[in-house]
Order: sequence, then structure tokens, then C-alpha cells
Amino acid sequence: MRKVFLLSLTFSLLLAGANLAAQNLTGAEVMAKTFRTAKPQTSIITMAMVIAKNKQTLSRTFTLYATGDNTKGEAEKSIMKFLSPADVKGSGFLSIRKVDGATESLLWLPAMGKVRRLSSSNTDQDSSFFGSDFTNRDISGFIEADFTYETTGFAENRYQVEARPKKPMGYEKLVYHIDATLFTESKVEYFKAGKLIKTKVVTYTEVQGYQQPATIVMTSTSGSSTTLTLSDYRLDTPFTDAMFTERFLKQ
Amino acid sequence: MKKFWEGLLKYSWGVIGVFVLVTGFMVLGATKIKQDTSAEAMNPDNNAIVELNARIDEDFNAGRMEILVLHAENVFTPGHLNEVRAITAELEGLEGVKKVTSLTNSSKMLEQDGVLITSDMVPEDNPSEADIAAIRQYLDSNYLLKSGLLAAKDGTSTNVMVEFLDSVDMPRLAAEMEAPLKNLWTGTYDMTGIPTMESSMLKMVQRDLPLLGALALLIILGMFLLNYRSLLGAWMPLLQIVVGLIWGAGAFGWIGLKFQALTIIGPIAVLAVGSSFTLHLLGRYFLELSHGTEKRTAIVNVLQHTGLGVLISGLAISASMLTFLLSDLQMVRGLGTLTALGVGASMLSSLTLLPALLSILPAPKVRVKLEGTGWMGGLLRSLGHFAGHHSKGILATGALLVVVAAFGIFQIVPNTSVIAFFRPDSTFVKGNEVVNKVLGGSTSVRMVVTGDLQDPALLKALLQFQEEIQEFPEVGPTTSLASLMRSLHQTLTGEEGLPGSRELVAQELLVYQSSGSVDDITSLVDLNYTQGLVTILAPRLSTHETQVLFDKLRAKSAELIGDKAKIEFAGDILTETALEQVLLHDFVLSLSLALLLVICIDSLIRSVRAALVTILVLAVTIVLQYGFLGLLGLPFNLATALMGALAIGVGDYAIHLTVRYIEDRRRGLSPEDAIVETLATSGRSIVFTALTIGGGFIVLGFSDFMPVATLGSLMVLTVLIVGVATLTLLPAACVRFFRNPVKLLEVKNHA
Repeated sequence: MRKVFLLSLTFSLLLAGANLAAQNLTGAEVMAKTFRTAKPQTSIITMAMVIAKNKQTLSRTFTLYATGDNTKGEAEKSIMKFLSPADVKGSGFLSIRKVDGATESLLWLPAMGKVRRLSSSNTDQDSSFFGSDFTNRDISGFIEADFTYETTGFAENRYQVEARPKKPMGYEKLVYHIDATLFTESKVEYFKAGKLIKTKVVTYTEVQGYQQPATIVMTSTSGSSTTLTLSDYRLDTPFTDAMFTERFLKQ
Repeated sequence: MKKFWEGLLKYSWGVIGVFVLVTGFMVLGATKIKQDTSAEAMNPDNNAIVELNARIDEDFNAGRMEILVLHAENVFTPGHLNEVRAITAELEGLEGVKKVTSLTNSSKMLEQDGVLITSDMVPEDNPSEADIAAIRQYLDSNYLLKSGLLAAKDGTSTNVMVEFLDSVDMPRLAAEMEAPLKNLWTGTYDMTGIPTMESSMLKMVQRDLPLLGALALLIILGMFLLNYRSLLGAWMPLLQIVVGLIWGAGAFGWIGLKFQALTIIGPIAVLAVGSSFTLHLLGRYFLELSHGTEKRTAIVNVLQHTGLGVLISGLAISASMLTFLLSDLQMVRGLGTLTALGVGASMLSSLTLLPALLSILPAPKVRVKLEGTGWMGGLLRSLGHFAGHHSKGILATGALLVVVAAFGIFQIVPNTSVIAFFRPDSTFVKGNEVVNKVLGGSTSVRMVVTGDLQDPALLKALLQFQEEIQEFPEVGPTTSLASLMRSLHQTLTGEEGLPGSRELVAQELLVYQSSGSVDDITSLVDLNYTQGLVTILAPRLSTHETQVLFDKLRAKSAELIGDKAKIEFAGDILTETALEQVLLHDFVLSLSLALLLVICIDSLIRSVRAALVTILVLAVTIVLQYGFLGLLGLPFNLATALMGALAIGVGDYAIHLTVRYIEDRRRGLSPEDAIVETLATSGRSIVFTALTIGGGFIVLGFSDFMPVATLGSLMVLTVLIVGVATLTLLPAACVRFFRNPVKLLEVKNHA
């Protein structure tokens, strides 16, 4: 009886210690783990984007092809091909982000019959992602080194980390709520000019051993919201660099 | 009734006690009154244009806007652009601000070396000369901006547009918006918009109420002293009207009504009109005492005879003020409530508290001969004699004046434009003029287009509409999805004109949506592209000019767009035309009802003929009032629309005159002799009542709120007209149409 008691006590203390140790992670450490969570080498995902405002909705679906990981010293490449509605079907958006952050973007508009090269200025990155509540930067992802981090709390198995950009960008600060077990973003709050402007909530599903976002909902304080629903995951499917070219964009 | 009055005097201290308690309760109520100088307070209820405006605000997230114009010798210098950037940042951080648009937070989209670039209009701090040249070149060539939306072509000004939530405290916001301009801008500036307007209105109300109220009280007090030459004759009437004012304000506060710009008329009306009750009662009291009547008997006589006139006129005035409750305008309803309650309380106080106080106080010395003596007595007797023997001529002259005045009525031009509320030299008006000159407009007409907004044919029609209305001198810059597409198509393809297919429209919009925010598109069109908003900047005009503009816009839209989409118009300046329609409707309704109520009340208490003879004076006065309004070219607006009903309120001395006439006929005098006697005895009270009421209203002429100032001047004229008509037309009408009132009343009493 005494042995059982001692064993239980030791185990509890170890757990508590681990927990305490976990809670003592710095903001930088939390975010480092989050950015380095296992990701597939390649992904092909169908995304349904629904923008809602004033009781109206606008739906668009597209297929996203993505590869690369900046944290591994690789260029991040993605192609989006619109599937619906009919008037934008066939339009495509190609983005290549190099390790140094420089981005090359191409836009294909079938009705115009031309590929347009887009600039990669700060303004562009902070612009809306095709009229949604996400910005282009929200979709392409933030660069870990662009922020300083501070853990500001821990509750319900989530770290609360405040991130402040090192150079001016569209946000004054972000507050991440990171799952302490999986190191995935559960919620992110975006601030500008001292005010909360929008909140992102993410749910996950496990696909082929990876934690993949299943739904991402961005809600603005101005009253609009955008829901991204991801489906038809095809992860680690081999594809070549030829997929990230103007030619493939126009197909 | 005699027993009732005698009973009342038995419990004088009880009556005084009740009044003290109720007055204390009402003082508490008065402290609860809140001010509301918001623009919404001037909107009519249940109005289609007001409702459409609200729907547009919600559907397109369109806010009200304040326009700031920053002037300098040349705003396109690094220093000034840095200042604009700093000002923009401060404005964006203000609570209640939804969006700020200026040179420094706008972006530009252009093609450079085959690359579509979206970048800040003004790149970072201290832009170079080359940057500045590029900015100016872009502004000059961009389809949307070349009209001067962001900056004047000559560089002498730049505009900052601030959109804000409706729920924000506007005067506070106006002050907070001005602060960075004062601190950071080294040139001059002008501001115009709802916050500036409401701030100006709040200052007006805060200045006017204590100043005009104090002035009115002083004048009225002066009149009392002049009339009675006795301290009792001064403070006693003052007490009654102050009680009336406190009870009126207290009830107003307890009900939860808000004090608005127009409500300033209420306390002045209560002071002026309420004073007439005590003037007549005290006048009769002093007269009775001068005849040697014992104090208590004198009080009962006063109540029994003159009290009847006070009761009828008090009820009539309250009833006419209560007709304002039928108005669709919140501020008119508030005014009617305050005035009705205040006047009613003054009447009650005059008929109960006054006699109670008189009964416990020693009888005063009568220093003024209140009947028929001196130069005034002689003049009034002569007037009575003239009226009695030339009644036909006087009535014919009255009829002729009415005909001439009726002609003037048809010259009346309504103007409920907000800009007309302010003096021409006020900050708001001057700011408005500058913005009109620089930007082409300081307010907007909004056009909602319901149709297929991705249809190139509809977009083309919209663009043509926008281009053709630029020929109208009253129209400034316009924005819509069509003008945005025109600008976008040129940037993307180098071609002028609009995309030629639905697919191209949708795909070009896709590009645009990747360079702005959700609101950039949804401020122009809904998510499904079924409803779009065209904003047409226009200066604040008179309501007549606005109606002309609106008719032109409607005709043009029907011609060019009508077959492709449904069009609806709204906007602040159209709300002003809606206000005009409501006012006209309220004017006819409240005046008709007020006249009817007065006839009914008087008929019930006395007789139909007595009521009709009395109403003659009021009807003539109203026709002459509005005739003068038209002939003098003064506008029919929020305040002057109320003149008619107020005239009924101030014209109660006609009732007192007929009451006295009936009394003199009862004593056996002939109609002609009775009228001489009536004027000799009641005439002095009538003259002093007119002077007191006129003195009360004249102070309104000092108001900075133009409708109230105009009303004040016209009410002085009204009081003069009623006074002259009561002393000439009414005696003539009594002699001609009311020769046997005693018989009539006997018949009525026996019926």
C-alpha cells in the first residue's frame, strides 16, 4: 500500500513538473515549436471559401497545390486554381516565396488572356486575400524571424503568446493561443492601432499523421467573416517544379 | 363654482403645501433631462428615405462622414505629407472612427515594366521629389481621383475623409478630430460634417437656454413692475410662471424626453404665455381692491369672472400645443409636450396657488389706476367707441388684409435645409462653403441600384449616368462600382472603357480584391453583385434646390438605367426634403386641430358663437402671420411652421375680452357701450399682456439657431397683430355678430 502511494506520488510530481516545465516555455520557444510542427512536403487540398457579410455570402472554391518550407531553407511554392463560381473558373494564382522573404506572384485571368505579374510589396502582403477577411500574408503564413514573442499566459492547455512585428506591417501585434500538446494555432487575435480587428479560429483533423487545418474561420470586428473549409487532402504526393510555372497556371 | 372657489380659499395652506411638495418632485425630474442635438433627432419617424439611409448604412457599411480640408501653399512637400500621415494615424486611433481616407493611407495600382504593382500612394516618410512627382502624376491621370477627391490639382489643399459609427458622441468626436489638426498641421484647415454640425448645435443650445431664459425673465419682470408698480405685482406672476416652468420641465424629465435644439422655444413660450394668466387675474384683483371690495370677496370675484377666461385660454393653449404630439418629428413632439405641460401647470398655479397666496397675504396698496383713466384709458375708450360705431368698415379692412396676406402665403418657400439652421458667419457654414468649393460637395445623394451588377451593359449605363450628371452644376465627384471598374480596366489593360464580358468583370474584380480589404468592394456593391451604391457628392442646398437636383437625377437615371435596374434615392440632403413634406403635413394637421379644439373647448364652456367670434382674431392672425412670411421672403421651416399653433397660445387675450364683454352686457349695457367699457377695463391688461409676451419672444431673436431667431422675430409681429386685432377687429365682430351673448348663454344653460 505504501509502495503504491509512493509510486503515485512520484508520478504526480513528475507530471506536475513536466507541466510546470511546459508552462515555463518562453514565447520564442513556443512559436519555434509551432513553426516546426511536422508538415507534409507537398499538399493538394480543395478549399471552399465563404465570405459572409450583412446576411449575404459569396462562395469560391479552389484547389491549392503547395510545397516547400522556409524553416528548412526551401522556397515555398503554391498555386491556386479557382473551380467556382463559373465567372472566375480557371483563374489561377501562383506564388513563390524565397527564404529571404522575397515573393514572386503571378495571376492568370482567362477572360483577359494574360498572365499578370504582381509586386511583392508590404502593401500587397497586407491586402485582402481575394476579398476575404484574410490578408495575403495570413494565407501564406508569417515568417518566424519577423516577430518578437512573449508568453503572456497559460490556460486550458493553451499558451497565450503575444507577437510584435520587428518592422512595420499591417498588424501592431498578434496574440496566439497555441495548443500545448500539439503546438498548433487554436486561435489568433489580430490588433491594429490598439484595437482588436479580427480573430482566427482553427480546427484540425489528422491526415496521414499530420495535423491539418479542417476549418479556418476569420471573423472581423467590422461584421464580416470568412470560412475556409479544407477537404480532399492529398499529402506528400510527388510533383515537380514544372507545376509552379506560368504554363501550368494557364492550364 | 363660487362654492368651489370659496372652499379652495379655506384650505390655502394645504394648497401651498401641495404645491411645495409637487414642485420639489418636479425639480428632481428636471435634473433628469438630457440633451440631444444629434442629426437623427431631426429625422422624421417612419420615413422611407430615412429608412433607406439606415439600410444603406448597414448593407454597405457606409458611415457618416466628416470632411477635413487641409490648406497650404503647396501640400505636396515632404513636410506637409509627413504631417498628413501623422494626422491620419491619430484620427484612425480615435474611438468611434471606422475609416480614414487620405493621401497617405491610400494605395495605387499601376503597371510598371509589365508588373502590376499595388503600393502606398505616398511611400514612407520624407518622400523624394521624384516620389512627389509620381504621386501628382497618378492623381491627375487616375479616373477616380482626377476630380480632386484626395487633393486639389493646384496642390493648395488635401482632403481627409473620416467615417465614423452612428453611435459615437458627435460633439466629442468633433473636438477630438480637430485636436491633431491644431497640433500637427502647420497650415489652415476647415471641417464640415455631422460631428461639426452637432457640436455647433450643442454650443447653441448650451448658450441659448440660460442666456435667453434669463433675458426673457428680466423683460417679463420689468413688464410686471411697469404694470402694477408693486412688488406683489412683480413676484406673484413670476412665481406662477416659474412653477409652470418647473412642473413642465419636471414632467418632461420624468417622461424621459430629451431637450433638443427646437425645445428652447418651449420654456420661452411658457414664460411668455404663462405670464398672461396671472396678469389678467391680478389685474382684476387690483381692480376689485380699488373699488373697495374686501380682499376675500375680491379673490372670489376674480376667480369667478376672470378665472373662467384663464381656464378656457389655458385649456385651449395646452390643447393646441398637444396637437404637436401628432408630428412625426421627435423635436416637435418634445416641444409640444413641454409647452403644454408648462402652460397647463401655469394655469393651474394661477387658479389655485395664486388665490391661496393672495388670501394669506395682506391686501396690497393699489398704486396704478387699472381702469379707464389716464392717457391709456382715454385711448382705449376712443378705440372702443370707434370699433363700436364703425364695425363694418373695420371688418371689411380686416377682410382686405386677409386677402392680401393670402397672396403672400402662396409666395412661401419652404426650406428645412440644415445649413439654414446656422448663421452665415458661423464656423459650420464657412467650413461647408470651403469644402463645397474644394471638393464640389460636402454631403451626398446616394443612389441604390438593384440589378445584375456584373452585367457590362448595366455598368456601362451607370458610368454614362455618372459622366452625364457631371454637367449639373450642383454635382461633385461620384463613386460607384462602374467608375471603379473603369479605373481598374484601364490599369489592367491600358484600354479606356469597361470590361466587355461578365467573366472579365468578375476576374478584374478578383485582382482588385487581392489589393484592398473586404470593405473596399462591399462599400460599393453587395457580395452577390445584386445591389450597388452610387455616391454623388453635392453641396448643402436649400430644400427647394435639392428637390430640383433630385428631380434631374431621377429623370437622368430613369433615362439611362431605368430599363436595366431598379433605382432608389436617399442621402442626408434628401432627408431634408422629406422633413419639409412632414412639416407641411404637420402644419396643416396641428393647426386645423388646434383651431377645432379651441372652438370645441370654448363652445362647451360658453357657446359656439362666442367661440367663433373669438377664433376670428386667431384665424386672421394666422393668415397675416404666414402672409408676412411669404411677402418678406422668410422660409417656412422647423420653427416658423409652429407659429400658427403658438399664435393660438398667445392669442388668449381675445378670450378675456369676450368674457369681459359678456359681463358688461349682463350689466345691461348696450353692445356699443359694453365694448367701450370692456376695452377701458380689460384693454390695459391686454396691452401689457401683449408687451410681456412680445418681450418674452423677442429674446429668441438673439438665438444663434436661425429657425428660432426667425420665429422670435415673427412671434413679436404675431403678438402685435393679435393685440391690434383684439382691440379692433374683435370688438367690431362682437358688436356685429355677438350682440346678445347673455340670451345665447341663457339658452345654452337651459338646454
